[in-house]
Amino acid sequence: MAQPLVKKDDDRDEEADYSPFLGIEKGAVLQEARVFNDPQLDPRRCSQVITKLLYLLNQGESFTKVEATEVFFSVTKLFQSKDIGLRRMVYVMIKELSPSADEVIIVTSSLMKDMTSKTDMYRANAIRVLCRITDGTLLTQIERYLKQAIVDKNPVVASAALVSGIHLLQTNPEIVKRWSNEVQEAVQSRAALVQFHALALLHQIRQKDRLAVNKLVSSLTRGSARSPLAQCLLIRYTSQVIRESANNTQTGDRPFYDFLEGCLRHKAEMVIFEAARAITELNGVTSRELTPAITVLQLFLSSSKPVLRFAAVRTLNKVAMTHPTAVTNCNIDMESLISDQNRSIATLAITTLLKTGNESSVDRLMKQITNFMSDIADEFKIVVVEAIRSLCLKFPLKHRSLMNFLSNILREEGGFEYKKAIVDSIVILIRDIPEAKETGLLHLCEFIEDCEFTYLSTQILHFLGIEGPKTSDPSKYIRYIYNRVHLENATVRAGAVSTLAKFGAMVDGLKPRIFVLLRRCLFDTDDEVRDRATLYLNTLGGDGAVVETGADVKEFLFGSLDIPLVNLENSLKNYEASEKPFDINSVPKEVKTQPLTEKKAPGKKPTGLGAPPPGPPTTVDAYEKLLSSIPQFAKFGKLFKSSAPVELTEAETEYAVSVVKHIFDGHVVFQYNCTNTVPEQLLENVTVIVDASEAEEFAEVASKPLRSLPYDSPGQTFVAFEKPDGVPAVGKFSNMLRFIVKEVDPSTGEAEEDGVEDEYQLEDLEVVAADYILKVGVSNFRNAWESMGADFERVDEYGLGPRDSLAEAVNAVIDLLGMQPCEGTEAVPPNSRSHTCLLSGVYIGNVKVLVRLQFGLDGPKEVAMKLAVRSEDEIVSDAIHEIVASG
Amino acid sequence: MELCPSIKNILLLDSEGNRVAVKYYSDDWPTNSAKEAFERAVFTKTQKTNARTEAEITMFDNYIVVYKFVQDLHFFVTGGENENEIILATVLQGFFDAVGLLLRGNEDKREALENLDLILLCLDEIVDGGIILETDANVIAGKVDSHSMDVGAPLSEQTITQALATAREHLTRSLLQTEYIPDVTLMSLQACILDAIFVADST
Repeated sequence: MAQPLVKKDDDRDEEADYSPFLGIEKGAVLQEARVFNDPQLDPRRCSQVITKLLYLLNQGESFTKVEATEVFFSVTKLFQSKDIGLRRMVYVMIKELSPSADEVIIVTSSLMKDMTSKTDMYRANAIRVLCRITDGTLLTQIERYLKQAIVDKNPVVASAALVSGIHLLQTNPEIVKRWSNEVQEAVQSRAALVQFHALALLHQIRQKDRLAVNKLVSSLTRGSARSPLAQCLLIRYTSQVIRESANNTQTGDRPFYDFLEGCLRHKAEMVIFEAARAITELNGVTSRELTPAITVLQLFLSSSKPVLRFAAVRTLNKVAMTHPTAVTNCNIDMESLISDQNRSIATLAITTLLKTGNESSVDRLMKQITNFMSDIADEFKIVVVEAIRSLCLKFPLKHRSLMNFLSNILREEGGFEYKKAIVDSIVILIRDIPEAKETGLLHLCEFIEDCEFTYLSTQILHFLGIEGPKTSDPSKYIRYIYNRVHLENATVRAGAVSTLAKFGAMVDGLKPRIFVLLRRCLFDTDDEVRDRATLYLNTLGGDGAVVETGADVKEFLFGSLDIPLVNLENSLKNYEASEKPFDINSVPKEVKTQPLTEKKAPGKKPTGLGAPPPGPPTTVDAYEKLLSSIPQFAKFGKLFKSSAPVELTEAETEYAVSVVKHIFDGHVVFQYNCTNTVPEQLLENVTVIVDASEAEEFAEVASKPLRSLPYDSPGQTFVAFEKPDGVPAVGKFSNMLRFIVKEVDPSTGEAEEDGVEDEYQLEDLEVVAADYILKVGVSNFRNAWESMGADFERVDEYGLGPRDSLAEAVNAVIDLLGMQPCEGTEAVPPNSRSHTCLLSGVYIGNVKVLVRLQFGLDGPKEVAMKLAVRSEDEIVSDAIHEIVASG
Repeated sequence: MELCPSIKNILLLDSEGNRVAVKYYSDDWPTNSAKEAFERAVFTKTQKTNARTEAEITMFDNYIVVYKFVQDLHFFVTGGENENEIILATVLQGFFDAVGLLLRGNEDKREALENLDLILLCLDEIVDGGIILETDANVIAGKVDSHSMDVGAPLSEQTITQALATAREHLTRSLLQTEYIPDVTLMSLQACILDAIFVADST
């Protein structure tokens, strides 16, 4: 073998390894490029050298500025040659080199000459090259030729000019806009692609002018566009027009729907698909409108072409999110796709089926999926696991078979991300479906018996420590946990020791046995494990006496740390070893970064193991910690609810402020999250002046100003109000941000000594009834409803007035009450005339409330609602009615 | 809002995932290493699939990739996640068939590299700055070939020296490929020269 290239193992012919560019080297090729300067040009050789240069660039080699300039200048010499092939290579080379403005001048005249040449190939290419490298000033010189080219009878020339126009519109819109007459003419061209390019350019020129676009679309939809691509474009413009006009025309049929539907019968698949997709994406599409689109997509599902199957199943998958019933017709075709060679298609089919499936089909589906899971890649498995998780939350009664499925796949081979997805799903199910808790925990226990991922083991041990002691028979978990102490690495062993201690602290009956186990850990080889065991033994009273563990000990051992970890880390770094022990109280508690403003979207699902477990959404814990660390608020008692942040400023103003409402039994605390977006300013002593004159039941009791608010580093200020105990008082508050502003020298970052007092008006803030209701779901609404009993049931009917749709009315009531929709009843099937929605929540004072809403359409748009409330307290039932009546 | 169908890149890789020719039309991959990472990801994700009779499709990182293989050549066309899959497939088919026409049915890596100029021109004729220029393989190949003919045509004007230069090229190539066996080399040298003279004569 003469070449040192990669040797193949198989007996393939060595020729396969041969490359004409073997051993190619930039320096040598640049030398070769000198042939461009020869007085007698050899076109063939020059072409070869250009190919070599392009090969180098294509392989990722880059030329230095000097090299590029040198190559560029010698390439320009090649315009002397009359060889067409060489000229084509020169064009490509110039585009690749993207010369600078002063270099462009050298080739301009040559290119302009080509642009007016008789050879169409020269004209088309010269236009594309020139437009690519040119700037505005030059453009005015060649504008005349470009306008001519647009209407040139040669379609290649016309397309070249039009496509260049599309690119130039980004940089020189005012010039390109002058061509609209010529472009308009080109739209009528008989050449398919010219029409496509002309349509694209014309639309971009006019896109700001809605009326013109409207006119363009209506004139073209009447005729027939010539090429499939142009037709696709027209479909996109049409749906845009439909989208924008939707707000104005409420009556009658949707404009242009007939055009879209007609496109479903076009002969080109790309057009059929584009139209079908456009129909499925229409705002508030009805099932009658959907049907023809679904039908053609269904045909695609059984196509022999993977691309068609993929396109169809992907679109149907999206439709299934909003209109599951419309897609059920395709279920049989979809099921056959589970075994599709192309795994992307199979996965999309599975997830679609999981979305459209009903409770009765779950078991059959699970059987099919089990076969399928073994031969797909991890990333697809994760998608499936997520789909199953949401299915389980939708049909809690099916938790047994779904949980079984999860535990089965947990035992199979798989990478970390996949296993983590499964474990996260099980954790979420345990949290949301109480019936699934014990089996779920056991599945997790079995998993850590043979788990290769330290991270997952420790997370599961931690989770066990929290959930395990609360189960009916905590002792059965001990064996699994103690096994870890024997068999695992130090990290997991330490985790297991902590978990054991938690069982000991929480379950007094287990204490003596736990102590025995912990004492054995004192001889562990790892010091962290020994330290933990010692600590727990001493604090839990492991000296033999079984005493009830005090609350403060529990708090000390297992309570959450009320100091931001970053601050603690910094303080520890700064601590110098000395006689004086480290004082944890010296660590600042003020949160510097702002971990609390993460969106707490309504109904947000807990995010698996990463977040600390149970209780209502995790941020509440964080808020509680934050508030209790502020002395003024510490005596307010337990935090009942924290709202999602409400923006009090427009986006992109000087100061961004959002507010979180914290509700306590007898108090309300407003937490204002402030961000200073002006780099030249430092704000100090930031407070919010709240005017509560429209909130009579509230009286301001305390406030906590923010000492300083530097640029782009969010901070919080608080204002607290007293309100009657346990009463859901409502009111409106107007806010004014007050602060001292100091100029900051941008170069040094230092603030000036003196500041000026200033104020900034914020938007008003309201405390509404929904703030007093916690979103707490129940897994089986009927059971909960029955067991609550009809003692304090209150039923009444309301007219909700004209509404856009039933769904809008349902959402409005859900938002008003701020309760958790159960069993997926918040989704209204399209075109239904009536709907029942189930809500559950906890009212202030820890009173459980269940609500059954029955909506019906009364007349064309009038919505009527029957509201049935059951709760543990009649006052609360009445209060819910009052909220609805006054909302 | 960009409504015009757009192509993010077109890739032609070999059966080990190395570049034969690639063209990027989007700034999503600003550096060469980002491009190479993308190519590696696409290649590993698709190499085990059978995309020889029908174009296949996959989706990852919010891109849609349609692809088709022949011999040791892997063709890819990438679009954004909201792109019409069938439009992408049409572009792929245009590219695929045009390359087939230009390589006269000998679609393999070696032939592709030897005619890299044609492949690069082909890419240049299919898409311009992300906008589809042409999808009909015959038209694309016709545009590219009209001057490759011209490159071929001057053969008649080639002098014997140029013909001999061609022969020398062939010779070096065979030297690179074969074990060094003098007899064979000698024979192939003779054959080459004869070839070259024949070509020069016949035209």
